[in-house]
Amino acid sequence: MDTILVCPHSLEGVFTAIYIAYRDKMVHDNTHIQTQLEQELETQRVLFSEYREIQPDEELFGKVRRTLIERIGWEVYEQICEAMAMEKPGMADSVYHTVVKALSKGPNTGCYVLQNLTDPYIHKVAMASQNVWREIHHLMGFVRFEELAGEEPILYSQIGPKNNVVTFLAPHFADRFPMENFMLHDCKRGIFVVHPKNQPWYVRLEQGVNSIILPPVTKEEETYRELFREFCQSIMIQSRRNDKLQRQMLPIRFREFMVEFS
Amino acid sequence: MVSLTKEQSVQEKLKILTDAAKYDVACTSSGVDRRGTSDGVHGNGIGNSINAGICHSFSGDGRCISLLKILFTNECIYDCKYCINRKSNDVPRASFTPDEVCKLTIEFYRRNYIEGLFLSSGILYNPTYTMELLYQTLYKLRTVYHFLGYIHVKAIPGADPLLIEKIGFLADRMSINLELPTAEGLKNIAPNKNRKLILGPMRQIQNGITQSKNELAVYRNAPRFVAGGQSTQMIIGATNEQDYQILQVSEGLYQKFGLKRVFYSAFVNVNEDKALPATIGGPPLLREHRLYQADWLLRFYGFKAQELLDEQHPNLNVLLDPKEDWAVRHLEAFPVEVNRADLHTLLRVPGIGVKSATRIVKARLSARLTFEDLKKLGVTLKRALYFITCNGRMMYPTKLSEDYIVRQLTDSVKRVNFGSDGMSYRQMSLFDDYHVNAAPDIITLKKAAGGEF
Ligand code: SF4
Repeated sequence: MDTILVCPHSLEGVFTAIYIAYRDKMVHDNTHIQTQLEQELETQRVLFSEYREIQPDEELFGKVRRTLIERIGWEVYEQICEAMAMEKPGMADSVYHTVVKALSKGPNTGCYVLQNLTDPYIHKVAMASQNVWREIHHLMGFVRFEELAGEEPILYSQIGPKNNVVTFLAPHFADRFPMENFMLHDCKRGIFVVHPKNQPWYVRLEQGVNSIILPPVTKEEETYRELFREFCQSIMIQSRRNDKLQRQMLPIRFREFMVEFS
Repeated sequence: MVSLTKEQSVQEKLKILTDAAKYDVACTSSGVDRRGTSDGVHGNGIGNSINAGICHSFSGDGRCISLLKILFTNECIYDCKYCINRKSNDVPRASFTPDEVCKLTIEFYRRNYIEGLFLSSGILYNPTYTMELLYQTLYKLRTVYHFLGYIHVKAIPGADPLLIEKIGFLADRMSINLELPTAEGLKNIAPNKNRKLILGPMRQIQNGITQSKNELAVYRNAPRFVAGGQSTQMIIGATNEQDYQILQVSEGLYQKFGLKRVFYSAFVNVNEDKALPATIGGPPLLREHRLYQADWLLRFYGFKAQELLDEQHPNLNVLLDPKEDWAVRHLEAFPVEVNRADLHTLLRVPGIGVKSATRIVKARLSARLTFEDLKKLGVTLKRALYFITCNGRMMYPTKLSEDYIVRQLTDSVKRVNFGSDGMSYRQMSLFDDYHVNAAPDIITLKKAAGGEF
């Protein structure tokens, strides 16, 4: 009979489950990890399997994390994190079995694990990471800040990404705007990244509906929005007009958050 | 020359000077990695730069908007026939001040509208005077506004070399437009310019880059000169050079001048000048597209211009992409066995891109590859199947005849990808997916098939 370890959809959750699978010497081929979020997305339950709830544990998470970074290297580790940002059924299990494959190899070969794309688990992780990375890269450009009034101005941006990527964006903008107060708000998931100027950024979860009341935008804000809209119009070459190409390069789903399309 | 700048608002200037800059195709922000903080937290400026470049928006023509691309002024003492800003045109004129450019750059950048600045200019009074204005702007932006984002600046041919040297330490990328593929073409339609004045500063910048790299190897903190490399642009279809000549020129620019990119710009007859070809049916976008594909083959696939085109065969095929065209003319080199062929050989197979070729080489270390695996690795089997075997077998029994394969490849018109400018290729360098660029434009393609280009 198969065992299914159930945990929250987070790196902490999945890594804790992986730790327990190893600690309890479970047979990997007959063990699966499923997150609660994945269960919601996939209503069908597998018959004849034993479900076991796992509580995320920071210490166990840290252990797995350290082992992985050591055995598979930063780059592959990052790809695994990216894959988990995708909220799709089967992702946690693919990450688990990819990790098993990576750790079953001798030293210094774990970092090549994602190259074996003929393996279905590995393929899934590699493709997800590529997909998520693409959205991160898109958003590095498509994020729009507006300036909110206050004692000191605050740059505020709202996004609604497909994948849970807001924390992947934070380091990029923290490096870009060290002297700005800024906020990135994933309004789909209720996650805020807050960056006070000259300080490290942190994550806040939205609690309740009116948990955060935002100040109004500054006086200059509308001027710059208008200037940018003007710029985007003037830069287009009419004789090359190509809406389809534009749609392909900048999918519609991003546009509701972008000033030049409002 | 009367300057109207006094009464104009920044908004009016931006409109005029963006409109005047839009025919310059390069808008990439790639080639430079620069952090904005020392530790992810502390820094005393604004901005950073990432090597792959970032697109911030796409305009209605599908081109990437990455940089605030503007002219400093569109007043100009020259009279290039193809240019909307030429002296003899009666168009509204405007000039920015250095502070206006700095302020716009910073405020756009803070809102994440842009990745940086692309500053070009018409020639006000003389080249050196103009270059000095550009220098002042960049100097202010870097030292007063502490801007650490991307800057691309045009070098004005004929400007004092000392200024070019100075500005090179402030900019990430510099470019000088070659404008036309041959010296003769240039003489005919840009009477005030000459090839020597263009190639001179191009060489100077190349030498500056080399020297700076050498110094950096010795002193880690040596100032960096044009760290993102040099690029140039050629107008396609204004004069009658053939693709063969154009590719030879590009190859020379990559090899002898160390250029990072050559951009191709399909000619638009904005002035409806009688001396130049009419572009009523639209600019030659398909030709431009094929040149970008061929350029791609030169830079990343190990092809030589001579292999793709020659005097007997001087223009790129409109129906097949340049790699397919090469492959069907070299059937003796196929089929290749994907489980054995080296990277170089795999790269020459239609339907296999740089990424899938590298994946093949890596994946076959752990398993013998099947056609099913190839699909997973991103190979476009529909196009590759005529040219490969997997474990000694072809996917279907296929005739290796030129006519047959050409017919099969061109059969589904839908298949042909059609990106109309360099930006979709930049995308390729990010994701390296030869097949995920722009959608086919069937009308243009039919026109092409009908010989309209
Ligand atoms: S130098 Fe020629 S191409 Fe440049 S702005 Fe003047 S007229 Fe136009």
